[in-house]
Amino acid sequence: MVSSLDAFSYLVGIITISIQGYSTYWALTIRRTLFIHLYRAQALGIAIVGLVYAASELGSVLYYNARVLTFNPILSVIALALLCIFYWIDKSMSSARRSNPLLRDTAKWSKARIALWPLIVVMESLLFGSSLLGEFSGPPVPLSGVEGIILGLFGFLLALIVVPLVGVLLLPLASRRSGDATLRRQIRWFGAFALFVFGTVLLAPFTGSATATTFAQQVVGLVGGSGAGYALYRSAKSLVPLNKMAGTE
Amino acid sequence: MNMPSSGIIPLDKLLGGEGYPERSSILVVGPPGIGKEALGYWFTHIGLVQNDFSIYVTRLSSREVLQDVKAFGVDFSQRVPFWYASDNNAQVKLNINDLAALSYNIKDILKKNSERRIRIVTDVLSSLLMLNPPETIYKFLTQLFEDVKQYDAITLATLEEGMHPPQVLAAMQQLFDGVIELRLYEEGLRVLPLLRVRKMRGIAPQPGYYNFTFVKTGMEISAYGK
Repeated sequence: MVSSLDAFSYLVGIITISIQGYSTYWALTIRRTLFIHLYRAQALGIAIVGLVYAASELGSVLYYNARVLTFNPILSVIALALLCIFYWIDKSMSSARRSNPLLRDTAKWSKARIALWPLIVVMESLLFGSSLLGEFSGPPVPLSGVEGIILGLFGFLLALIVVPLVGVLLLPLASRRSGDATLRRQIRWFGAFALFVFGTVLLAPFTGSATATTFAQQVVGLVGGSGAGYALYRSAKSLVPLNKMAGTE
Repeated sequence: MNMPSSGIIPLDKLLGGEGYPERSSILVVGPPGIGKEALGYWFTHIGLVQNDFSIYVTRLSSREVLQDVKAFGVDFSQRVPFWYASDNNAQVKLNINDLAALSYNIKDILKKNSERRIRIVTDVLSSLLMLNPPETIYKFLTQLFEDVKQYDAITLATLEEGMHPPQVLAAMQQLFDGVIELRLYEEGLRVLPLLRVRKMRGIAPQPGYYNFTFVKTGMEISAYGK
């Protein structure tokens, strides 16, 4: 029989997945109207981040409630999410360069990206690989085995340093230099999305135990998930200036 | 004398049958990524086919433009425009901070090719407006257009939507002989790319909006019915 806490966690999952799905829909809808590869890729970046977030919610609901997954979803989702976020950051850095009147290439991104991409892929592969070494059933135990811990920590630490470093330091700088108000708005909302996601992750240890889901965890999940979904939706809608027919002459 | 074709048959029809007005300056306004540059690519392409002298003034490198061009089915490999760009492969290297040199170089190129029809396409306008006070650019363009129109020349410039204050956008639209808007409109759960000829010298004002999409042979345009 489904307990009220389980039912609530399903509800949280449905709400969060719906909002993230809506963000993805808008990102893909706008992408269809764009014709320049770089801007299409940027929209795709937001769409896949939304998809991964929705998938993580689904994985989380299934893992906590049905215990049906045969691998630990937490690390694999983090690995995938960081990869997708890095893809969006890469495209946004290129877009910022293109919008800059003097084509300023912040931190020589057009060259740095060539070195960073293989590094990120290796890190994420380690992280993803380590997730397969996790417990196969029961509550989420991040890793098991010395190899898993070494692999996971290496990938996790490097990925968690490199991606935020670029996203938090370089991207705002590049967007400010670009003078493109639309791009700045998009990045601000994406930043809000990231804050909600990391806020939710950071609060998790304080709201429940590692072996059982709690009501407080679900409330944090609902607020964090909805907030992240709304921020990503606003980021998608900020990809380009959208006009309203009624607002024109 | 024939009017200069835009290189896109449906757009020529929309503009009264033949193309842009002679000795005119055309502004294409739209958000990044919508494809306003494609109007410049096709305009340059048809100019090269018709043996007009075509100049492409870009803040990007010629290599970057050639990459973008391919996405719209335009081929510059057989006939190449005169590049006035930021890279060393260009015939003239662009220094976007030097307005005097920009003006001088364009006038020099016009003088040397005065026996042919000249097409000038540029994507530098937004950058110029971001680097200089709008009044400076307004005066610069007024003088430049006056000089350019002494020749059988047409200028087509693109301007980024969402990067400039509305009054700057309005001032630019006032300065050009023709203004084409490519914009995205939100309608319920849909986003529609719509085209509007906001003004065009010698053509009656057209209040209508048109759906558009880019295809390998140019552009498909159909009337927008709400």
